[in-house]
Amino acid sequence: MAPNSPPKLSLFQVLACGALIVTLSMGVRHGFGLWLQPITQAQGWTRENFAFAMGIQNLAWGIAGIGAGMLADRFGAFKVLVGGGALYALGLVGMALSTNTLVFTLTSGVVIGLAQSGTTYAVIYGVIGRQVDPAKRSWAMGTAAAAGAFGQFLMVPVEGFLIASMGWQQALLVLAAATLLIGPLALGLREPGFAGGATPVREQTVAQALREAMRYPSFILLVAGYFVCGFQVVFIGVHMPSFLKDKGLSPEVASYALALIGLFNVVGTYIAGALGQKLAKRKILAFIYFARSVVITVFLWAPLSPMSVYLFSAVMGLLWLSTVPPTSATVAQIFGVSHLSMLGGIAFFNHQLGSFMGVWLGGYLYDHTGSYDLVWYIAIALGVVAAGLNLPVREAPIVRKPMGAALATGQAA
Amino acid sequence: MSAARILGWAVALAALAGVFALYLQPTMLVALSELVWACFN
Repeated sequence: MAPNSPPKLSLFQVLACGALIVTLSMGVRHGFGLWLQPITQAQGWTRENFAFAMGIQNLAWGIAGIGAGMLADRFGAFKVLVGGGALYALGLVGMALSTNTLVFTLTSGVVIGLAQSGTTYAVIYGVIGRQVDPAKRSWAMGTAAAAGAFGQFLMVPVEGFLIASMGWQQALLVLAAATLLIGPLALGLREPGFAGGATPVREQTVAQALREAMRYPSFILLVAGYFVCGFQVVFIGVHMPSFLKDKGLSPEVASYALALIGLFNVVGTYIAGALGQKLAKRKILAFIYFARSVVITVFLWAPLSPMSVYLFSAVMGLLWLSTVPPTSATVAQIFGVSHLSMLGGIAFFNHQLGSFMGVWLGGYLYDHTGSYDLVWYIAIALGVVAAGLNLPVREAPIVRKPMGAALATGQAA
Repeated sequence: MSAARILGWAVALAALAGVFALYLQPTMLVALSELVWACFN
């Protein structure tokens, strides 16, 4: 360790607190679909009202993620997490008590979207990047992402139980109380380098870091691949139940399929992070995207049955969030960790754009063609393209000019 | 592999199996199925 570098947090502390925070933040939002029916029935709203607020939430999460990442890199993740946890609770209380659609959209859409941007992967990965030795970084990111995947898997039945046992409004208030735990958990991620309002000396300004990333072809390739990840995952997650219904399969098959995706997602995400420590991350990413295309092709080609759906769900689950650890670890490896949360936020913003396209195009093309065939083919083609985009990514750390030369170049420009 | 690591893996696998079992409960399955299908009715 360099003589002037601040002491680091323990690996266990970072992983335990980071994992619990993303379990909560990713888990709570994952079950929001369960409130569609009770809220729209109780308030007399349409499904479109509910869906619009959820769409705003996803956009707010993606857009605010860049700003939350900048704040976390500048002032430390702790303050952003505390603020994010408080916003999460506020948004959930607002979601429970809103009596008109405007307030519902502002609270469950904008406020919870902002909260997610401050409590999910980009912010936590900034701490992991700074506090965990590079030799264990990809594994640690995989562990944190697996915790988020577990949160998604866990919270659907938990939230279903809460709604059934105490009603939808009280269930939301219980979740609001649970998200307040993010604040105390964030104490475990208070980095020594940011103690007492101090800010670590950084090699680049935010503008320089942004300019460097945007002009670096490998970052653009990674981010383009991430767009495809969002497209495929959210298209399948949202539209597969409808696809199965059209094919005459029972509702139970769709529910088992979602459970299998959730279960294998945890396993696949952890494996991807651990493999990133041993193999080239660009090859892992290329494999994941290509494998998704192969799996979708086989699923469409094979005779459809409950068993084929379960097999597809299990394998697709293994490939679900497994892109997250290698993508983030590659960004950290190329650019360093000073602006990791911000750069992670940019990558995630593109993931959300892909998610939006997957949901919207799925519905649009279904309405215009009467089937999901065309969107499935697009998902297959995009997977092959994303695999091709990730293969030429250069993972080696970027070589920068010395500080003085860089400043001189910047001034000249 | 150390005892602590084995214990950690055992806890993780038990947690995964426990949550998966929640999905397999008939009441949970019916409730989930109804909610999933409610989106298309």
